[in-house]
Amino acid sequence: MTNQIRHEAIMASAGSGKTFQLAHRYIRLLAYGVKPDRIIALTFSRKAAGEIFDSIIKYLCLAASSEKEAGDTAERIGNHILCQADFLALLRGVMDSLHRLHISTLDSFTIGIIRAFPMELGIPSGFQVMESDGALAITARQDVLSRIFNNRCVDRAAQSEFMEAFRQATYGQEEKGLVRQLDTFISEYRNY
Amino acid sequence: MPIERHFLGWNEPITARVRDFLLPEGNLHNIPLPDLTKDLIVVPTRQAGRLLGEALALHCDKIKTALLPPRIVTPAYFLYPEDEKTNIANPTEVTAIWDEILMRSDLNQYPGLFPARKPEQDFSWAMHMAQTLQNLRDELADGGYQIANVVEQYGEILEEPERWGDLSRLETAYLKRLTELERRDPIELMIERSENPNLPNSIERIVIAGVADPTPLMIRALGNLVTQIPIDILIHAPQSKAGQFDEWGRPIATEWQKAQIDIPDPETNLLLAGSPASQTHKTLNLIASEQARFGPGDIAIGVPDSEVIPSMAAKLAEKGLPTFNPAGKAIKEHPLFQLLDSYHALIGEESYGALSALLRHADILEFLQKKCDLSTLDILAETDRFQNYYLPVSFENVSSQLRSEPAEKDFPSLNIAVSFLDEQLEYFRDNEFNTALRHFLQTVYESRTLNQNYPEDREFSAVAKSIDAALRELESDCINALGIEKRNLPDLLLQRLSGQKYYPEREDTVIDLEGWLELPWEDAPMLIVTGMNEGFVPNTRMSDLFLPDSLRKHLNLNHDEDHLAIDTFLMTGLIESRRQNGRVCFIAGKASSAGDHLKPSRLLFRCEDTELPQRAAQLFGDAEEERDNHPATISFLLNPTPPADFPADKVTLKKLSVTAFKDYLACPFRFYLKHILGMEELDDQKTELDAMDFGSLVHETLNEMAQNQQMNRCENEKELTRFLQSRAEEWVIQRFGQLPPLQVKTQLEAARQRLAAAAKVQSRLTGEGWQIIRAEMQIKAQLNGMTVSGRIDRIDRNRQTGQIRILDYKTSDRADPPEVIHLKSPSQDTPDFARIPLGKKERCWADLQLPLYRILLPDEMLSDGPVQIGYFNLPKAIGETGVSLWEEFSEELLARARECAEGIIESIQHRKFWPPTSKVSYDDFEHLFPAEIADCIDTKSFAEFMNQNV
Repeated sequence: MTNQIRHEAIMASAGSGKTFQLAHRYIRLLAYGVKPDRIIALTFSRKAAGEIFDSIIKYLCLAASSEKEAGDTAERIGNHILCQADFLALLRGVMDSLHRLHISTLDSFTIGIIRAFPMELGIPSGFQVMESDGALAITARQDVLSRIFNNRCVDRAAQSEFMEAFRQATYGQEEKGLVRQLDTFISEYRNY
Repeated sequence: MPIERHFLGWNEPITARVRDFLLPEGNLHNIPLPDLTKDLIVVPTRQAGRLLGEALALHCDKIKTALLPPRIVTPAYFLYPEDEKTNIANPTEVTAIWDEILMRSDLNQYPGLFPARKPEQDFSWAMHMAQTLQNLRDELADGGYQIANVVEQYGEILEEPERWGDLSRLETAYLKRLTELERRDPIELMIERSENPNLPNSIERIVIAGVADPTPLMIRALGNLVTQIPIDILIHAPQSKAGQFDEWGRPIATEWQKAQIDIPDPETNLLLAGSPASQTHKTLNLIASEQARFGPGDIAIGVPDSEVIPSMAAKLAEKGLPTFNPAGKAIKEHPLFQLLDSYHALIGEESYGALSALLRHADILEFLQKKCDLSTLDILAETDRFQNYYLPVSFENVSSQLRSEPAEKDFPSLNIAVSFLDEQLEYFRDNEFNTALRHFLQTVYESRTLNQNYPEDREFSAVAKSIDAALRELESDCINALGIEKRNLPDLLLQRLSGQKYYPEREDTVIDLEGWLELPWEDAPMLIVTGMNEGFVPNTRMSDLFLPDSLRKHLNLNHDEDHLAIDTFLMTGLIESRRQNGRVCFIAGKASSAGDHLKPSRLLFRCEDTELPQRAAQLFGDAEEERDNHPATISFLLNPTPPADFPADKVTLKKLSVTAFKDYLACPFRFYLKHILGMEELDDQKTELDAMDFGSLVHETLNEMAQNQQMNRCENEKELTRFLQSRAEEWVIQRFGQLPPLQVKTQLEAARQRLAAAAKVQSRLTGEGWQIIRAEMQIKAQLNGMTVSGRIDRIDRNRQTGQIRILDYKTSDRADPPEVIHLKSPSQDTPDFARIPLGKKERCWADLQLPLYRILLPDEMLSDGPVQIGYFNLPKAIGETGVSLWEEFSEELLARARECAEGIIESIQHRKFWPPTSKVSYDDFEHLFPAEIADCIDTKSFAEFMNQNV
């Protein structure tokens, strides 16, 4: 059934209805019998993830409330045979599967996978994710930098190498401050 | 012996029903002293036991009888009898043995468990992995399994048999090592004990009260006891529901997981809130709206989502309703643990950060005050000052600087405090870790007297006992035999403690903040349950490292369907027990405190299909966000008038530095704070030379060049470079010693490069006939009754033309010309005296430094021609190094500058420090003012101060 749904990329400006389209595509998949826990809807921001979630439920609720709304939604998703009772059943299915729905940010979906398979990825289990500019991250960054500067933690040879690398990286720009620049450097390069 | 199920009904909370079961009203009249000492009552949680005990006592008090109370325990009691005396391994030993196994194992032999890049097998990794493996064993133990049992019994259905095989082999190695060390595995023993659970001889009946989720291991234990003793199962449900529970009182999943939950008046009793703080606001609104019906003692609050607790506790306390969290507090949040943590950091890394944390710990400060007669203020002030000047990164940096002049004299209190910690470090180096830690704690607390009447002292005692117990675990023969490195022992101790809690006593409490499992035991008629979100209710875990939900189901461990069934039953009980005479409200959050989207609990949608669309729309709509973080709430105003003991001669300025004029131009009020009150921002985390330090390094080095007759005339760039760079190095060594911190070395390198570029410019200037005739020249003159002083970096004169130049060194990042720094566009805050009409445009003064140098220059320095003023820029882009003259500077500008300076002086003399400038490019005082300055200041007092006659 799902082979009737093509791959699609929608590029449009803000406020032009991308969330609307995505919510209806989600409902369309449900209408084709795809289980809710087999669908992933991902976006960048937490706010957008919440909006997508709310939109899907809102349109399902509308369609499950009256035959007219059901007819309009059925037309929008190209599945004309669906009626109010069908949408009510879909809504019930979604509500019963709330714990298994994957409508989230890319970050939280990725973190979920990493949490489930840390051994496969070669990282410690039970890791903690820090907000990039949160207090924990700032403290951790300061801690790492202070360790680099502490001879007890990093030997002098390694410190010299570090300094040479820094000098080359900032050639011609003789910055007054190292720490602030390193902090900026880390913040910028973590995006890559 | 029979197992008998008793359906207590659910028209009131379970506490009352269990109380009535244990103390039947009809019997009490015939018994002068009810005796329940032969009953063993099993309740789901510690708090449930407390509530039941309280209900029994209150009831007996009400009917004016005494009671011989029963023993009330939680289900784990059967598996951990108190009188057990075996060589059972303690938790620290278990972790330590795992650590040894994991660190010594060749991980290549376990490709199923470590399929990817092999981790570095250090102690930290091993402790973490040990915890992971032990957690898995704990969870399996609920079902009565060890890892090997799972492999043997379920090998065919395991999706990852190789991984489980590896786990089993590691477990075997662990058990073998335990045996070698003559220890018993607590999990193995617990499983064994379920076959033959001990019971005190005095017990004649077991009552299982409202335990909806007994583990299979507990069922096994009870099954073995049933032959010896009668067991009553009390179920918080009516007899009509008997078919929906199994013989042990567990809700049958197939009966409950689809059951409807009839929430009365869902439009008003089901609420959606935005953030955790918003859930708190909704709760407070509900309490306020029902205050005529329900007093504070009639209200209970459920907090399945612990993120709601901090704001809930704070807001209720503000309303005079102190709360109690029966879940206890984490030991790692107690100051005593934090002291251990800082001690651990100090003996481990010997870093300045650890030293600083210890010196800021209230208990250390109290000790130093009592024992060494040191003022806390002095220690903290000296620590900040020392840190700002010497930028230490290690303990060694601090102690070596303090041993040398002039630091030894400048930081007397810090010196004593550091000596104390140095002694502790020495003691640690010379002794076992446990001995050293006990010595440290005994020293710090030797003069402290605990008064058990004070709650904080009782909490201190509880945490201290936990630390003592954990230390005793570390002191065992087994740990000694394992030969753990001394540096790793603190990690073991802290890990052991960080998972533990302490339980402050419940007193003066009006409202309890209960977890989900405790709620059925709350008898308050008004119940507000927050955190009704997936992940909390039901507490379903959809992914797990080793035990996915499907495998849990196979192993008969609690899985999603069980959680759903149990929570459906519990939620129904909460509603039904208040349907007649109370109210229950459920609040679902929309977002976590970090902003993650939360899903409402599935249980909230257990309604008729016809109601579902409306219910879903209600709980997925927009949540009205009631923010806790208002833009700024000013709870008190700052009074900036000088305090009574402020020296009178400082209130009225008689002297002013040339560089201070720009501060007044930037903001008269901030000028007042800085130059009259002497306030400045101190950074306690300064890690490198700041702009001022860097400027001093460059200035002082260049000054030495000017003072040196040979260098002053030197046209050889290389020679000049060598001189300047060597002087810069000496400056650093003088301040930081022979081994300066890495960051300072890096900054020195930047300074060396800038100085090399300056040497190139200087040699060219010398070749052009310019000679430095004065350097660091002190100037001073009277201006409108104010002594204005300054120090000119250098004055050059051209040997051929006699032209004079006043130059100021600038080490700013950019090589801005003087006119850019001194002039700017005026704003509405600009006073008239600072405004300058320049052609069609109006400009204003931002700085008066160079014009004032020119004004204050003694007459004998003036040549026949006009004196040039400018900067000698040493920016980060060294290609831009050079002299930047203010070519357009004119006599008219000079006159305007004088007018401006006189205007500023007059304003200062008349105490015109208000209003503050709304926007400044850099604000030293921003942390003092969370809102507009005028909203944070007691302006009336300040106006009175400004109006006083000078």
